[in-house]
Amino acid sequence: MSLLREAVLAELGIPRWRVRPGIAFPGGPVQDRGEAPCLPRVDPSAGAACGGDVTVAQAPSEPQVVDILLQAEAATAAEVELLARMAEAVRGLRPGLRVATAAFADSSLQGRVSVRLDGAGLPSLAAMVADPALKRPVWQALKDAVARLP
Amino acid sequence: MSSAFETLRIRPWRASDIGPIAAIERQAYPFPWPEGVLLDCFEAGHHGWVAGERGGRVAAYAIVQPIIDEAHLLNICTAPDWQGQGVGRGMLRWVMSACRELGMQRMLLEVRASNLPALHLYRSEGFTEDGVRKGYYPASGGREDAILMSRFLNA
Repeated sequence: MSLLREAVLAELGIPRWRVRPGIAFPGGPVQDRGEAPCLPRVDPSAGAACGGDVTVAQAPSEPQVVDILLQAEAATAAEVELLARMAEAVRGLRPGLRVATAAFADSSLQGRVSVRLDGAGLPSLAAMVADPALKRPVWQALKDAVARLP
Repeated sequence: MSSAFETLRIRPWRASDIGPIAAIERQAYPFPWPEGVLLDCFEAGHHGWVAGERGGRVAAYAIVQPIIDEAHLLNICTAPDWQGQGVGRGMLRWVMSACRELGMQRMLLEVRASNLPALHLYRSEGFTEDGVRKGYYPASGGREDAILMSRFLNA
């Protein structure tokens, strides 16, 4: 890649890894396949290589680890609010407890102890909003979860 | 409104309060909570507060079981020699305020259907009836219904 082209890309804020060999950059010279930049492979298992579409595998970020992770799907404002209050109530059980909430698919967080509110083992947020009496077994499960922590 | 409650000091309960509270239970109720139940509540981490004289004698107390964002008022009682002076109302208001501060949204309780002064107090403090639990309490003639009441704490 020419220095001029690299400078233009940088000015436009376009990262190098988006450059595809053989595709002309507007206003720039036509790039031959042979010119394709060979970027270092970050993760060999990700299969990034020279030639064809060039990609740089993102280094997998380590999930943040908390003491208690509440996993639930909150679809309405009432459910979001209830989940926040549950986290706050759990924090009150032990000083310094790190408590977080996450959707089921969210892998950026990991709990030393996780409590899943999916309607199978424990009632879902929607079920608790509809029937507040269901909070009782959930609260017991949360207290048990805290007790399992060292 | 000034009441005898304003002369009392309130603090969270501690294990040494169990004995004096049990003594007031026996004076105030025909079916008092035994010390074991009070101790279970204490060890379970339920919130409790006592209102006492400067000398330390307990005049009133309340025990609340938190369930996520709900406060279940399990017991609230005024010692017989402090009754009729606004202490119960003062204690109830104080406990509602404390639970609100703790982030609780709603207070629930149950009361004997025959306890008309308590029913009047709760209604006048904004509690509404949610239902009846048939034959919930032991009574001298057999069993007695419990009236289930609740109110939101931010109202």
